[in-house]
Amino acid sequence: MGNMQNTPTDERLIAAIQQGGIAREAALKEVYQDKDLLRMVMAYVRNHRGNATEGQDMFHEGIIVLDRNIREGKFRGEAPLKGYLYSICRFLWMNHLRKHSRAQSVAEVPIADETDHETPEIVLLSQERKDWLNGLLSELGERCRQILELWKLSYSMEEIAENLGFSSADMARKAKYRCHLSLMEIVQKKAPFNG
Amino acid sequence: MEVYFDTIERYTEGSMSPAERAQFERQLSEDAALKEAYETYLTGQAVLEQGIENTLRQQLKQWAAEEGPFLTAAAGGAAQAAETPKAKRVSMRPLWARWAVAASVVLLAGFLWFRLGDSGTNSANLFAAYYQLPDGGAMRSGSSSTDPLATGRQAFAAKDYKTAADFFQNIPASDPYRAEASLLLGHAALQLHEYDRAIAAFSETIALGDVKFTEKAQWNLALTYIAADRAQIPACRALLTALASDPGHSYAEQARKVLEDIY
Repeated sequence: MGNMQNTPTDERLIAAIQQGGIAREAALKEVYQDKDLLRMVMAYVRNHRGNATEGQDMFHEGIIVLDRNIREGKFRGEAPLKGYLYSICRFLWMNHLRKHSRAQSVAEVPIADETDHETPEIVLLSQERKDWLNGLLSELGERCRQILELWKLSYSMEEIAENLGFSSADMARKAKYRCHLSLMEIVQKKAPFNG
Repeated sequence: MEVYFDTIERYTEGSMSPAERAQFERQLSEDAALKEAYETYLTGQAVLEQGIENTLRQQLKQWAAEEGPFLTAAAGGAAQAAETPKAKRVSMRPLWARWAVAASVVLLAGFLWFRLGDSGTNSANLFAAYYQLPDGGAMRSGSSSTDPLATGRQAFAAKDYKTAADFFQNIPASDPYRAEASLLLGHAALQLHEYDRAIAAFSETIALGDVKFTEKAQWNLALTYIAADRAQIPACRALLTALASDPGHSYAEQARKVLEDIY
């Protein structure tokens, strides 16, 4: 991993994910299609008590964290993108082993010796918190969920209208407003999460 | 809540002037109702982030499913990368043990044959229980001058599935109506019992990523596997599991029921 450079490709991918919308989707697919990196993650997981399927799952979870960290400005290309994603995947796998107690001692597989840059900043939500959020999400309704997710991913109102079949950007904007208020009402009605 | 909404949104989007921001932050520390509304807004954003995570996870699984054979190949490559070369293993099992293993394999094969044979009838019932032809809206033909799929829709509505399938098949890949055309092609092919054609068509709809049609295509792809008596293949189970585990998916509940019925 040490020979990885922060390349113009990294900058382009990070900018596209930050930009959101269709550009983000294309950039994530490009990251996903890096089969060398997938192989490395799978090899790492297999070397540390996992199997190929679990390796692929960690690669997917790593991309999810990468996407969020870039969108939230926690990663701006300070390190090579590939190396950063690889670090995330290793962190996630070690965390998975800890949680499932599959390693008698995680010290058996020291992460620090292998990382070539700092452990990525990862905020892992508890399963209880995720379940709670998913419960709220399920009350929102499919149409509103789609509108608000696209909006949050910086799709323009024109793109939302086109993607979801609204007659105009203005209609999409009105629907987004109604859906957003509806989401706030759902949140307000629920007891706060005490996890 | 509604009275604060625009202000909070402008603040979180960063579209306030520095003076406005300072004033908003001052109000936030003084006005309990605004503070509560702001916290509600932030929780709403966390809900949406969870939705985005679910959607991306489903998308990644879909990409992986489309590249099915790669996992095996990559696993082989990963195994090579992970393991140092080892000397060839020589089986030390006694002959009786090897015969016992062989006998188990024969018994297991017989059991699977019985199960799959049995599932043939069940598959047809299961498919019939869940499958729905496209609704009237999808097949209502618009004016042929404005709806480029009108001819195919008319043929489909008249149950001339071959004409419909051929028509939808010929919609160019670059046509903006292609995703809808391939979804309808999948349905027409299903009616003709051309399962491979239906699987290819629904897979194409999914790959095109048009949110208006993706969920329908995913669900109908799973049903096509069942109709084709291929419910036991990993791709079918993986797809149903992905749908069932996504609480935001329109067919999550149906997928959960089908999983319980089959596996």
